[in-house]
Order: sequence, then C-alpha cells, then structure tokens
Amino acid sequence: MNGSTGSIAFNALLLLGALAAFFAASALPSGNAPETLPPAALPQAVAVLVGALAALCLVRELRAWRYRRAATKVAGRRSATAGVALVALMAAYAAAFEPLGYLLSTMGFIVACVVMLGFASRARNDDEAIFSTRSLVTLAIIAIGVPVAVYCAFTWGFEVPLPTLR
Amino acid sequence: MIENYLNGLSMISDWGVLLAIAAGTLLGVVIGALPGLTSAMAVALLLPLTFGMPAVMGVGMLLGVLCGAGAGGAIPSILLNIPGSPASVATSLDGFPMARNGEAGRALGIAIVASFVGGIVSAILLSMLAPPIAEFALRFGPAEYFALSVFGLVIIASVASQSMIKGLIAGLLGLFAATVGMDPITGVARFTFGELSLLTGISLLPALIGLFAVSQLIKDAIDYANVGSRHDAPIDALQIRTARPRWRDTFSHWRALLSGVGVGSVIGPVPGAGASIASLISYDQAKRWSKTPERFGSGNPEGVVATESSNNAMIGGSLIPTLALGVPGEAATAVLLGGLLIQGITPGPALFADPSGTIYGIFLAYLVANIFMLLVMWLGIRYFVRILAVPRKLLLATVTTFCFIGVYGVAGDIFDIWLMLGFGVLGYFLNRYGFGTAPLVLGLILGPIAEANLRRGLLIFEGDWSPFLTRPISATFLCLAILLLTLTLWQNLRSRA
Repeated sequence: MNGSTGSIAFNALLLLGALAAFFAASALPSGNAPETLPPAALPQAVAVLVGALAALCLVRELRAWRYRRAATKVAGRRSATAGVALVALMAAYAAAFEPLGYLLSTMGFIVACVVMLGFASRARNDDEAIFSTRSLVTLAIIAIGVPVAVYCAFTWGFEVPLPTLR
Repeated sequence: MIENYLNGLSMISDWGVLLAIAAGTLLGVVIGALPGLTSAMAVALLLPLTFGMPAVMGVGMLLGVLCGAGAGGAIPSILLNIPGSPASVATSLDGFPMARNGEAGRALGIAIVASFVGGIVSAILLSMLAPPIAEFALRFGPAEYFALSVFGLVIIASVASQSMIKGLIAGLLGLFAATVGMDPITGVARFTFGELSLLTGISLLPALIGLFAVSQLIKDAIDYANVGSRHDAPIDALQIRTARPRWRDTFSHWRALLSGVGVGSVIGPVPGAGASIASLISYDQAKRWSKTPERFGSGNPEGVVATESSNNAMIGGSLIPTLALGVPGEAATAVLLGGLLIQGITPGPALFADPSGTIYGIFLAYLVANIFMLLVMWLGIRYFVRILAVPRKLLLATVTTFCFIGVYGVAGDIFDIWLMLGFGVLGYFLNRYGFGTAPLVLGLILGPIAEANLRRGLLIFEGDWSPFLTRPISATFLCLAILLLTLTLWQNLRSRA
C-alpha cells in the first residue's frame, strides 16, 4: 500500500464499479432452469467480493495516506502526457481503421506516434532527434514499408482481408 | 508396435514431408514471435496451405507451426515484456527482468533448451501414454472441471506479486468479465448492452493483447518520455550474440525443468485447460520448489525454465485428447483438429486402430518438429530479434499496429480493437497500482469453465452440492486449492511479521 492519490482513486473506482455491477446483475432475468443457479448468481457474488476487497484496500490506502501526508508521484507531467497522447492516438487509429483503410490509417498512426514520442523525449537531449535527415528517412521507410509488407502478407499470403479506403 | 513406428517412419522419411515440417516450424516461430499473433491464429492462417498436401505432410506442417509458435512466443516475452502468445505470459515474469539485467542472450538460450526438452518429453509421452491418459481425462465430469477451475483460480493468489488481496481482486475482475455474454445454461444475455459482438462473451485475444501488450506500450511511452531512448534500449546486439542453447545452465535448474515438464504434461490433456494455465501453474510450482523463491519476478532463470518447458510439454499433452478422443486440449489444438478433419483424418480410438499407421506418422512428425524447432531457434534467433535494432519509438509504433492487425485479423470486427484498448488502459492501471494483469487473465480463462460446470453439475445432481466434495478427483483438486490458499496466506503473514 503506497497511499498515493491515484491508488486511492483507483480503489474507490473499483468499489463504485462493484456496486454498479451488483445492481446491473440484479436486473438480469432468472431464466428457466430451476435446479441450477440463476444467471445473476455468479456476477452478483463476484461483485460483492470485489466490493468487499476493494473497500478493504481503500481503507488501507487511506490509512497509509494519512500517515504519509503526501501523495506518491510516480510519473511526471511530461511522461504522463505521453501515455495519454499514445492512448488518444490509438483511439484515433481505431476510429480511422475501417473508414481510411488499413494502409492509410497505419501509415498515419506510425508517423504521428513517432513524432509524438520524438517531441516527448527531445527535451531530454535525446540523441535520436526525430527531425534529423537520417531519422526522417528511417521513419519514411518504416511508415510505408511495414504497412505495405504486412498488407501484402495478410491479403495475398494468408488470405486475410484487411480494410481498404472506402 | 515397432512395425507401426516403422510404418510411421516411412511416412515422414520424405524430403517433401521434412521440408513441410521445417517450413511450418519456421513460420510458427516467426508468427509466435510477433506480439498478438497466437499459435491458434498461426495454425489457422497456415491451414489453407496444407489443403493440397498428403495427410501426414499437412498435419506435420501444422504440428511444426504449433511447435514453433509455442517456442517463438518466448522471444518478445523476454525481450519486450510483450507475450507473443498467452502461453508465454508467465515467461515474461522472469525473462524480461533477465533481459533488463543484461542477460537477454542467456534467457533466450535457456528458453530454447527448455522448450526443446519440454517438447521432446511431451512427444514421447504422447506416443507412449496417450491411451491411459486419455482414458483418465474421460472420467472428468462437471464436478471435476469445476474443482480444477477452483484450483486454478486459487493460483491467482500466489501469482499476484504484491498483495494477495489485490491479486484476488484482479482475478475476480476477470471472473466478472467472463460472465459477459450469453449465459451458458439459460441463454440469457448478460451485460451485453445491446452489443452483438459481446453475445459470445469477451474474446480472449483482444483482452490478452490489451492487458499485456497495450498496457505495456502505454508504460513504455511514459518511460520513453521519462528517460529517452538512450537509456531504455531493451538489449544490445552483444547480448543476442550470446543467445545459443544453454544446455548446462538449463539442466542445472532441474527442479524447475521437472516441474515445468510435469505440470505441462498433466495439464495438457485436460480439455480447455490451455497453455497459459499450464505455464502459470508451473511457474507457481517452480517458485514453491525453488531454494530462492524471493528471486522470482526479478530475473530468476528458474522462472523461464519452468514456463517454457511447460508450454511445450503442454502442446504434446493437449494433443492426447485431441487425437485419442477428438476433444481439443486448447484453442490451437482445436484449430488443428479442424485441419485433421480437412485432411480426412478423424481423430478418435479408430485412428489408433487404423492399420496404415497414420497416427504413428503423426507422433513421429511431432517429434521431428521439436528437433526442427531447436535448430530454427538456435540458428535464427539473431535474425528473429532484429526487430529490436529498430529505434524504440519506431518499435513502439509498429508493435502497436501489429496488435491492431492481430486482433482485427481474427474476426474482422472493429469492436475487438476497442475492447483491446479498454483492457489496455485497465491493464496499465492494474499494473501501476500493484494488482497485476495475470490474475485477471486467469479469471477470464477459467471463469466460463468454472461457471458452466458448476451449474451443469447442479443440474445433473438435482441441486445437490455434495458430489462436488465427495467425488475423488474433484475432492483432490478442492483439497489442493484449500492447501494452496492456506499456504499462501501463511507465507504472506510470515513475511509481514
């Protein structure tokens, strides 16, 4: 137990989620098999257990927090932003996957991801600066070459259809 | 008996058959090494290639794929902490810390030998013990399957690294996620919220890739922004050059090797159990048998030996019910079963009585596939890990696209990608706050087996719970579960004191 604000918030979320799951399970119909458990039985039991254990964790975290009087900082603002930015890019990639097709969306994602990570680490005097000629060439080769190779392998090699531009 | 094996030998003593097995093994290793592409998917993808082949050649190629993918999964697990397949989840627990400690070559070398030993032992066991073990597995009813699942779920407590309570929470979350979809007895739709893709439940592949790959990618992006690429390159070329089979090193951890091969061989024939369960159980057992259990999770070679030997021993074990009874041991062998039927081979007791000796050809093909796996991994490892020479940010971006295509390629459903992202974010927070993702996966895998068999059992026993406790096999599993739980609680209390 580290007593960090994030950890407390996560345990509280688990507790709330367990409560919501319990009530959602209560609304399930009972089905037509009287000699066995109803469909809601296992989800309800699990929700109760998760809720009880999460409450226990929450109490322990709050106790640890009170003694420490300070939240633990795991990641700085810049690094946390990189994580959030990556998730946002992945979501955008998922949203564009079918409308733009595999090739365009993947090329776009690779470029955006590499540029984002390049910016995130550039302030730390990274040797591998994204805007050097060599790294731009590498980026172009990877961003075009990998999706095209994978597309060919899946479409013609494995005969697995991938989405194309609509 | 010898005549049957001579018949089988004549079937595989053909350049075409040997080439097909070698090609299958090579492709299996490559696909297994790609995060998100499981051995089941590898077998399914290469299945069409075998259509025009003679039976033993086609089945031999698929067995090579199965074998190669099982071993290849260790490469990204060790080097990137991204399991190539669910079976390699436990390998990353110690393999990745070894790589981080500058022992990537050693970890890979140990993984190669452990996989080979596990595979060879399982091939021998498959050919020698198939009838009696299959007969034993036939005795399993709902009570036994339920008890086995409970036993597996109790492992959650020991797998969770930081706290047993947090491990249990993560396991229960997996169990809850497993209840999503159509109820197995009444057909009632649970927590689907009108989404058709959820009717069949949460697909394992998006969940696995999300929990193990996407969560790791998010963490890697954060680490990358923190320290830049100069400090977080996973391994250097020198380490890979030392990646050759480590025979003496592997055999020096004979306890872990024995436990891995033993657990894999025993769990393998149990239908539905799967390689991920076998490797997690063998990891847990190796930890218990070890003289240095406290080093597990921080780069102990015993962890790699146990899980990799178990993965490959499990493949042979899972082939026992597949070939003897027509009941697949896990997802990959289920796809293989389809391949056998396409080849005109109907698995079951009749296959063993077939005078042409095809089954013995299959046994020998599996043995040969394991030998090829050793050669392919040994000679090709430095080429398979070339991907790591790519700058970290490019690797992060391309691995993400592989995750997307791996998830999308199976069913062509964009919902699976969103599911993967959801599990990825959840997995990141579970790891960050010490819950771990492995317990969630175990809950997700065992949940449907436990629930369906518990309720089916109650239907059969007319609502009576006592047979779950009185049937000998079921009682043994439940006693073992109680024993494990007590032992873990006692160990936790002792370490706190």
